[in-house]
Amino acid sequence: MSKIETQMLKGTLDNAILMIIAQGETYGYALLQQLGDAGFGEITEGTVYPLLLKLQRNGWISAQRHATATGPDRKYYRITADGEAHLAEFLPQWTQLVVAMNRLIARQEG
Amino acid sequence: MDLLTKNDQRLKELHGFNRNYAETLVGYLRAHWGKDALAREDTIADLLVDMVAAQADGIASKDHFGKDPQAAADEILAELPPAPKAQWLLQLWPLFNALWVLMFVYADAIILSGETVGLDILWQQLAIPFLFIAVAPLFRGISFNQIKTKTKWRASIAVVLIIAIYAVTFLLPDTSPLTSDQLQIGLGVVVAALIVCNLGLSFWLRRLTLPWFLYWLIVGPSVRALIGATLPVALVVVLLVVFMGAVLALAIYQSKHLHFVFQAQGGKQLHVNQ
Repeated sequence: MSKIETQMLKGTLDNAILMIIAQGETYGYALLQQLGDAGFGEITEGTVYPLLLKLQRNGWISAQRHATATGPDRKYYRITADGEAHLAEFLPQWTQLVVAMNRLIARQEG
Repeated sequence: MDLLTKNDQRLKELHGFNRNYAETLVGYLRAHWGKDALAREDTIADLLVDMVAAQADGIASKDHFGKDPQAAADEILAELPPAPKAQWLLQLWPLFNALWVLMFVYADAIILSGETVGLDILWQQLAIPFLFIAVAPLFRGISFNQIKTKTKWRASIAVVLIIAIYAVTFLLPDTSPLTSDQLQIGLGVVVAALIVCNLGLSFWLRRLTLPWFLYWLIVGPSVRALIGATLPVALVVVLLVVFMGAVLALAIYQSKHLHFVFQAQGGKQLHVNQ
């Protein structure tokens, strides 16, 4: 898996994080692992944490600190109704972009 | 246990370079007094918990958080809410009182020695510590391994400012030396004003200002008694050092532990998005 260029990541990572959180409540450290499993490569917490703060500031996710079965209290993130509304707007736009890029790639390779 | 103390304890769970890395990062975040202190410590708590988890998984803090912690910290700080006005008071009031204690002790030392001092010298003694505190934020980021160009520029400006202002204080016109009576009256007025200010503020920020109210109420008259008594110089010096030590400990404790404001307001817990 190659490292994705920073500028390319910047435009997509916040929505990727939002999509992961939409699939289920999660916390910061687990989110890094989930991003890696999804194919984003090794993303550092220094990249992810500011985006989590931004998503909270936009009101797209909420955070609650609560106890875990093992280990210290952690902050868990959940998507809000506004966050789901944002995703509903974002996904068609992203799909359109993917279709357009795939067409260009097909022409390039064809 | 307040959040700051918990975070300091969590730091100790990191070892070797991981701890150095985390301490530099935490120190940089805490140096930004313009940001809400509870939001800042809440962020630090999140980062440290994950760094400790990463350490347990064999991942170095540098690899976990990133090779450019200052850039990441700047992005985090940009997202944090600004400090409320009360926080500035909480951070600066202890320093304000501590600076006046410094002046008070210095002036009393002059009186006890029988020397005289001009008003310009007294202002110099007050201005120089204030200057160092004022320019300290310009040195933020100096402890990172990779010092950014903007940090070098800020630190250079700070050094130039310190030298320039220090030089200017020597260029101030000399004033007539104050007599011992004038100094004592002046100190008495200052102490009285500080007692009144701290008492007034204690109705709003009890835990911040009550210790200072009691300090000035006890120390002011005590030092006056010292000056009137014929005590050995060594004992007087020791007592003044004890007064100063108590002040420093109080000022440092109060500047760091802002949580008590929220405790005094009924134990409000920090919940993000509420």
